[in-house]
Amino acid sequence: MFEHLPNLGAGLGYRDPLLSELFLQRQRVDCLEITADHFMTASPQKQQELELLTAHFPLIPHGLSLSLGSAEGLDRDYARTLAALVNRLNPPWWSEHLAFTRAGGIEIGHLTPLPYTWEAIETVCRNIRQIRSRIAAPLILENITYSFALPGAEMTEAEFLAEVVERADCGLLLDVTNLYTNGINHGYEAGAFLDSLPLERVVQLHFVGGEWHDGTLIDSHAQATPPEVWELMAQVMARAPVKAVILERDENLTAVAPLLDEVDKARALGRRYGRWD
Amino acid sequence: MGLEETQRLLARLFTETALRQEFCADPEGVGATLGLDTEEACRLAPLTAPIRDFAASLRHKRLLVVARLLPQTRQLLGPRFEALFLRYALAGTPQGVEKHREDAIAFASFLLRSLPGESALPWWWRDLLRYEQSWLQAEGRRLWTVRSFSVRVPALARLLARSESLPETRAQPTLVLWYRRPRAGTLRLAVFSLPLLPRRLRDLRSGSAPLR
Repeated sequence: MFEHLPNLGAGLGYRDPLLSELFLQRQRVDCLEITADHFMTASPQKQQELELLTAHFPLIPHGLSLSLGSAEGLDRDYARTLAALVNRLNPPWWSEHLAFTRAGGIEIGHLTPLPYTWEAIETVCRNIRQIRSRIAAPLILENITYSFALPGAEMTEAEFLAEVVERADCGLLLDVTNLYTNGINHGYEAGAFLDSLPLERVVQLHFVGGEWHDGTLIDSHAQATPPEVWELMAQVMARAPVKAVILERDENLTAVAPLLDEVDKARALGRRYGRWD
Repeated sequence: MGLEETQRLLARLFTETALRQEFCADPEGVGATLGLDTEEACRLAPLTAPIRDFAASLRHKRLLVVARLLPQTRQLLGPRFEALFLRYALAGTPQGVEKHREDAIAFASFLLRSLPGESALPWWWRDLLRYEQSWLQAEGRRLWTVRSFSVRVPALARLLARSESLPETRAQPTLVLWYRRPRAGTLRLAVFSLPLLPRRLRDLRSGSAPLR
C-alpha cells in the first residue's frame, strides 16, 4: 500500500535552536520533520535556513493549521500557501492532524478534537480531496491528544481514525506518545486501540515525553521519552511497516546530546524489527 | 446542531472570555440565546470545565511563545510578565500564519500603553521593550526598519541577558537600523550612537528630575 515510500529512518522535529548541532551531528540524524507553518510566509532568513536543510536532510513537512476537520471547508489562502511549500520541497510524504483548528473565521490556536461521527468523517474526507487536488505527495494523518471528547460519538476514537484513513486512502502518522497519553487520561488500553487500526497504513511515528499536571498527563513535548512509550513504540514497530520515526521535542532543547541518544535508540529499534538498514 | 454550528460555537467559547463565563455559569440559558435547544445545551453542559481548561491552556501556550519572543522584557518584568500577558490575552486571539509574532508585537504595544510612568522599572525599560518589538517587526519585513532610542539598547539587551541584576547605563541617543543585504536573507543590525550624555541630562530626558 505504502511500500513504495522510502525508508527514511530516525530523525528529529526541526527547531531553530538545533540548527548548528544538527550539522555537527549530521550522521546521527537520518531525516528531519519541519513544521510547515514556520516556513510558509517565511522571512528571507528562514527561506535560507530551509534551503540549507533541504540540501542536507530528507525533509518531511508537517502541517499544524490546515484544519482538515473544519465543516466550513479549508481556508483557501492557507491551503494554497501550504501546497506551494510542500510542492516545492517535493517530499516523500507530508502530514497533518485529524482535528480542527478553525471555525467561523476564528483561529483557535490549538488542535481541537472532532466528534466521532459519520458527519465528521464525511467532512474530513471532503477536505482531504480538496487538498489532494493541490498537493501531489501522499498525505498521512496524525492522531491528536485531547483533554475532552465531544458528545454525540457514534463510534470509538480508534474506529473513527481507522474509518477516515481507509475512506480517504491516507497513511497514518501514529503519535505513540499521544496514544499513550490518551490511554492514561481517558482510561483505555493502548494495545487494544492498536488492534482496531489498519496498521499496514502506518508510515511514520512520533514520540516524546510529557509530564503530569494536576493528575493529568500533559503532552508537553518537553521531557525524555518514558519507558512505557518506548514499549508501545516497539509493539508498533513489530507490527507496522514504519518508514520513519521522529522525536518531537519542543521544549528543553538546550542539551542536544540526550535528544540524539533517543534518536539513536529509535533507529536501533527500527533495525531490530527490520524496518531499515 | 450540525458539525459546522458546533465548531463555530466551540471556537467562540474557547476564545471569547465573556461568552465563556456566561455559558459556564448558565449553559441552558445562554445556550438558548446561541441557538441550542435544551437537549443540546444539556449535552454540552458537562463540558464547561473542560472548555475553561482548554481556554486557559490556549492562553498559557500563547504566553510561552510570546515569552520566548520577548526574552529580555520577560526578564525585566519577572512574574508580572505572566500576569500582564493574561490580562492582555483576554482581549482576543491572534490570527494568521504570523500569529505568534503578531501576538508578541501586540503585547509589547499593550505594555507600552499599560505601564506609563512605571516607577518600579529602570528608566530605560521602554527602550528595551521597543527594541525587542522592533526586532520582531523587522523580521517580518523584506528591506529595512529604523528606530531611535535614548540608550545604546543592543548593548543593554546583551548585558541584561548575561546578568541577574539590572545593568547600570547612561543615556546615549542611538539609531538602530535593521537591514538585509541584497540576495542575503540574514537580518543585520547597524547601530549609530552619539556620545554618552551626562547623568543630569539623562534624568531630564527620562522625566525623573524637574526642570528649574
